[in-house]
Amino acid sequence: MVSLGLAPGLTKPDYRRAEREAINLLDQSGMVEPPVNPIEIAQGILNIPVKFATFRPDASARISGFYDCEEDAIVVNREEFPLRQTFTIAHEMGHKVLHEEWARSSDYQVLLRDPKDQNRDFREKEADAFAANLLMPRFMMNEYYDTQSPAELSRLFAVSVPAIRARLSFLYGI
Amino acid sequence: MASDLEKAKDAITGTDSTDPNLNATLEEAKELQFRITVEMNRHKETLHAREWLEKMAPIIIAGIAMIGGIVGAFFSIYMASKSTTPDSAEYWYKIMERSFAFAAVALSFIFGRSGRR
Repeated sequence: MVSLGLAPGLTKPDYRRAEREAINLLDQSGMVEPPVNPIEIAQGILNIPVKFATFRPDASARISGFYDCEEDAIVVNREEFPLRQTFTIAHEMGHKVLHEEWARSSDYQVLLRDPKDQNRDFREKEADAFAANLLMPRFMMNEYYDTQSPAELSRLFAVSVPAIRARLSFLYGI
Repeated sequence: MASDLEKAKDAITGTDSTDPNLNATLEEAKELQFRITVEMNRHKETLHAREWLEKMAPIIIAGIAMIGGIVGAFFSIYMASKSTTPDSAEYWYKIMERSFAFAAVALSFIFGRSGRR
């Protein structure tokens, strides 16, 4: 196990950095309206291919996706619901942008479909924050959050309803 | 012992560079965004039109009142010219004065109101 000299349980997630990096990528992409297409950003700006993988059934039930540092590619489970695939791609992009060195270590864990099974390392929280800021940035949410239902926002931002609800709760306390 | 990542990579049986379901979802989201934008613009235009009407309503009413006053005044002049008795002529002359005064008040309201905007 490579520890990289960090104590995950004691380190606070740097949400501001996650937001800054996500907004920086969004600025470069020129996307100002939802939906944010994470594949275009990964392939067009970061030059990382996104692969849709078919897994053996036992693994497919468990895995959402991962960042493959050897091939410098993001791998997504193609059996997953499309509205979750976007978040998975953005989450793994977060690891590439924020924690590339750690992603090369044996400490790195693939993103699991059931969040309860996931190790809640601070880096996972940062990658979640990165994904939320990339796919549902505050300036886009401000335009729609008070006129559209969570179900419509989910379709509009191409993310799952739980992801939209978490974002609404974080940004507006609703 | 194989790492989490190595196990996941070993479990892959095939890959594709695109996913039609995800593409369709993103396309649907773009269409929804377009429809919502059109709807929001239409709503804004309706609100602007309503606000304009609310602002202009008193001026429009005063304009109608002014026209009524002028028409009344000219009618009074006509009636006074047709009068056969001095009392009748006197009566229509007073009505004419009041009609002009009414029109003048309406006109001053319009200018006063539009001057404040």
